[in-house]
Amino acid sequence: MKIKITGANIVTLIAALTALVGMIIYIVTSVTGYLAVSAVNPWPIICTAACMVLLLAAAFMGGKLTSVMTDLMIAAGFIMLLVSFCFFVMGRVNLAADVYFIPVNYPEAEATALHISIVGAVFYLLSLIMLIVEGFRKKA
Amino acid sequence: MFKKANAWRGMSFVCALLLTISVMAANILEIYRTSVDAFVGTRSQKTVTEESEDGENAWTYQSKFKTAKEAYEGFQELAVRTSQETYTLLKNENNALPISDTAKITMFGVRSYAPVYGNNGGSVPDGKSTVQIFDAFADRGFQINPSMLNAYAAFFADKEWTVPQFGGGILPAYEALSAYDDPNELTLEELRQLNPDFDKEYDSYSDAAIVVVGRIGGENGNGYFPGEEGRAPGVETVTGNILSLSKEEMAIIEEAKANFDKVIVMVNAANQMEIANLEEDPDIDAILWIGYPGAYGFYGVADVLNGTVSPSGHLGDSFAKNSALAPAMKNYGNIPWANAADFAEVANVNSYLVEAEGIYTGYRYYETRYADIVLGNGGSEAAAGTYANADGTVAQTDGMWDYANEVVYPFGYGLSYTNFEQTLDKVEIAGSRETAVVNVTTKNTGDVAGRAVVQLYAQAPYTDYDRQHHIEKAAVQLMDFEKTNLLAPGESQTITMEVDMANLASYDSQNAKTFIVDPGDYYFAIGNNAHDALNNILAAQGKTAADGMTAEGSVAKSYQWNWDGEVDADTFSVSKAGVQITNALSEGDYATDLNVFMPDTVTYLSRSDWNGTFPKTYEGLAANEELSRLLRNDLIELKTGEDTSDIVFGDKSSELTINDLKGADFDDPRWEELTSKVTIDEFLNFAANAFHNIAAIESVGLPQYAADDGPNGSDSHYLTEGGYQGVPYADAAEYDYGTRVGPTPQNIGYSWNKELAYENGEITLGESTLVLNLPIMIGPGMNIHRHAYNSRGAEYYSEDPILTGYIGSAVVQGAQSKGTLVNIKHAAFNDQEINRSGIAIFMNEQKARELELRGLQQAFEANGKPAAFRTDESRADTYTEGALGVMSSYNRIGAVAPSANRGVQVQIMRDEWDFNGYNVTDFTGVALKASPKESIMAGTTAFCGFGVSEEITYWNGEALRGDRQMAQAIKEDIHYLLYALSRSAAMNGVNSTTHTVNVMTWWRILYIVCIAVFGLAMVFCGACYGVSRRKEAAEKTGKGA
Repeated sequence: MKIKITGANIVTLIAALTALVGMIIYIVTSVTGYLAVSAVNPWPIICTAACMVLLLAAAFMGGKLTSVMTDLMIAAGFIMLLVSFCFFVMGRVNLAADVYFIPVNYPEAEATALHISIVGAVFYLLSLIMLIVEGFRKKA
Repeated sequence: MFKKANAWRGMSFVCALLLTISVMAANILEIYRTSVDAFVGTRSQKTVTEESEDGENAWTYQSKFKTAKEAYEGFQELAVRTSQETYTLLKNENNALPISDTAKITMFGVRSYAPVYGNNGGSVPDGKSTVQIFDAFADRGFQINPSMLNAYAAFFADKEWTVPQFGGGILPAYEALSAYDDPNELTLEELRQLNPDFDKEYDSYSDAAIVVVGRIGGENGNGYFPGEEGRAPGVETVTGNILSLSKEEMAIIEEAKANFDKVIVMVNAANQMEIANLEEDPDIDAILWIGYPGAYGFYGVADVLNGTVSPSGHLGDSFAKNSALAPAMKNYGNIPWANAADFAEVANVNSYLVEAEGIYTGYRYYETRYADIVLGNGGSEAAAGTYANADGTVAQTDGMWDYANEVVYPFGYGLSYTNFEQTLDKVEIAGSRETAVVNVTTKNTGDVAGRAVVQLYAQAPYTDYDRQHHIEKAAVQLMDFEKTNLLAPGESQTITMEVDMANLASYDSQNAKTFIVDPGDYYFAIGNNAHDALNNILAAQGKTAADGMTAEGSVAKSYQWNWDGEVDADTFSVSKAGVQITNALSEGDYATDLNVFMPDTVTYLSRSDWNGTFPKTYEGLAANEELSRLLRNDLIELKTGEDTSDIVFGDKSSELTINDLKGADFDDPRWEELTSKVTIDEFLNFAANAFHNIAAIESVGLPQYAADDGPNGSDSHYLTEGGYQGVPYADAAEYDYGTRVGPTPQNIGYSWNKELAYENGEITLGESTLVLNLPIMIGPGMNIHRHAYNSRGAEYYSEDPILTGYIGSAVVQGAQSKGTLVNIKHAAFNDQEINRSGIAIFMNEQKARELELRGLQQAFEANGKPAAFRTDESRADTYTEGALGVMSSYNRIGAVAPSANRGVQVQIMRDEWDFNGYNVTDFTGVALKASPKESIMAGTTAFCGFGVSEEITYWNGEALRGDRQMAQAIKEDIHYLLYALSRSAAMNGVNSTTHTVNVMTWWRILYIVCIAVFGLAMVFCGACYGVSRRKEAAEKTGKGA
């Protein structure tokens, strides 16, 4: 199968890639360091994985799908990404509250987990922005 | 409009993202609702009472302020009056003070323009209320050299006061002066650059040069370190420690000395500064310790400087030439476990402290070693690095320990503008040994009115039994104190003190395993300070200056008696609550003595061999298996499936509410019925939402309330929110001022005035509760000062457990008289800010019980009633109930979380002291670091913090219901918290209709509007996208056709 690389699917691929980075950071901060002993919420992983499948499908199979179908896949991916972003951020609010609200001597590892998580959330946000850009793009 | 499908598609994505963010924000705002309220000054819930069944009687606690104006003026009046009694005159050569009330003065030092008004965190002063030093002085009539003032004003012209790291409002402090390691004094060259004429008007403002030197302090960062570690690069100080004066500060003082006949130095610091060079300098005429005066306190400073008030403060700490040489300082700071990395991060394992100095902190060390040298018992020999040279620097070779080189101002020291003569009139020791009655007469023999402090000290014998069983005895210890009325010249006052002799008993953890009294000679003595009193005791023991005493003592000011027989292990072995006192911290999981876990590791300082047992730094220790098990904070395995059917939760058959038990005794049988209504999940919800908050418990009719820190007034709320008996003040908008305006708590300790402390409890905490509807106020702070370097010492009263205990007890009593549910903090041993969360504090049980716990005990047992209250019928109902609330510490007690240490929390506090109240953790949340399940079992009723952390998976009724011990503990904890709240202002104005309603705050309006707008916009854009796609499709079809 010959895949045609277009501006549209480059943006979609970037969105998928940044989502992947966000998810990796989520997993790393969930299973190491301060949160290592906490149960990992699987939903950001499930939703991000689903989002990537949808985005990659939209990017590489776009030519074979109707434009409505492509739009629906990207929209569904966008929603999956929103859910992931939402769970990720809400799961880290506790850390932010500890670190920023009160000048306690919180463990350094807690601040580390928070700061790495912020980077992860920013990647999710970038991915969302990429999809918004994609949403505004005229059809190729 | 519908032609651009891609635009609608993009817009719907944007709206979806904004909607998601709005929903997340709404969630976060509601989760942290009480914190948001505290930070932005809103009230998101309020208590509504629709009708009052018993009218005025529902208002158990009455505020004395019916308008915002009255409240504003009331807080201010007390703040100024309190401050006047806290300032401590340390030196006054040739009556340099007072100065004229219209004196023309020149102010020196960066702190003369920007003093430390109060703590930099925790009990911060209210910047909105603060009257700056130069304005206060000018208001009182002083004429300040404008040239010098302008130089400093120029330096601060482009600088702003900061905001506190938590709490609300403005912190009256500049970022430029916020370092612990650099006082940032301006040099003369810098002053010249700021104002070339800064020194041109010296002659016109020459009545006095007033130099202000200061050090910051409070709950904010790690604080001070001794030696080079504590100094920023380039900072040089007199003794090498940051608590002595820097080269730049000395240059300013030299400038004052060179140009003025009269030089007055004001010490604007809570940490004991090392100022021997000033005391010894004949060109320094006066030294006045002012601590942190608070928002209005410089009015009080001016009143002392001009003689309106004669100073009557006395030091609550020993001022050493080199505080870093105190034995406690050998184990201070960050001393990490060698195997800290082996633990999960959430277990919060970092470092430890071995408090090998034992009971010898503060004056107990300096005075006891001095006494031993005078008595010929040894103590002179000292190894290099453990004693001071005459100039206060650290001696680098082995030599001789000399009291004169160690102590500048002893504990209890303080001068006045007048003279007092005190006589020890009568001493009666009860046959039971439990109490003594002591009469002391104070006569003002000077020329101006003033207040004196009666300080009563005691000495117990140090015996062979003590040496054999490793019991230490201080040569002098404070037993009680009273402050006189304002005595006119020639006037006398006789005060009768009822002395609790339990405070003279020693804890024997090795043999008797309880408090003991040795046979032998005992002494009482009065004195102007601990050293003076000790000299009076030494005089009674036949010693003179020829024996090495620093001054002759007065036998007439001492009293000797003898207790014969065997070691008495009975008299003080039962608490006032009738509970047998025995070891709580010397064995088992809750031990605080490291030797229990690692035998023969620690050698405690002993007066039997001062030099040989002087503490070393215990560093590099690795937690062994037993300690590691405890450090993991997971001590008790939850059981499941046990029969708990007889422990009732969630019973809906009763009509009782908490209001029905308002004021009921703890043993009232109705508590069983009431507590049975509460479900485990309700309790867990209450316990997990305690950050400045009292969560509602609907099943018993407990409404939700806000609560607040701290010891010096509300951190976050202002009189604009104030009201009287549920009705907002009509003039509230005109008074955007806080209630945290008084001098810092340490200043109150230095007043040595129990009645004034009671009044501070009534107003500072009590009226904050009533005016601002904050049933819980977190305070007072009652940890004792282990040494000079803890930057948070300003929030606590002193180094002595009796001064701390009786001042704290008075504050508690005053606060509770207004319905405040106090949270005494911190139980226990919050001895430093470095690694304060997670650090393991080790000490022997004697130290624990005779210092910190003895201080706390006074407040929990309602001890220390002022002599004036005991003879006043109108005060008969005071001091009838001990403190009803406590906050545990951050640090571990021994190896376990403080709230989980059953030795302290259950055996000592709940059992021995009969504490039946509210017990909250210090900002841990429900997290592993707080050892939540173990803490609940140890009587913790709430976890201050931000909810439940992910690692705690059992925070629900289902998980806990099957463990019988846990179910019983929860039941007891519900009883404790409801009992405490039922006796507080949480029940003020409450009747059966009282309930909590949400208030539409601006941030709620904002998120609701955002959710609505973005939600609708998303739907609209989505619909438009659909329509446009249809149109596109139709157009294509049309074209195709």
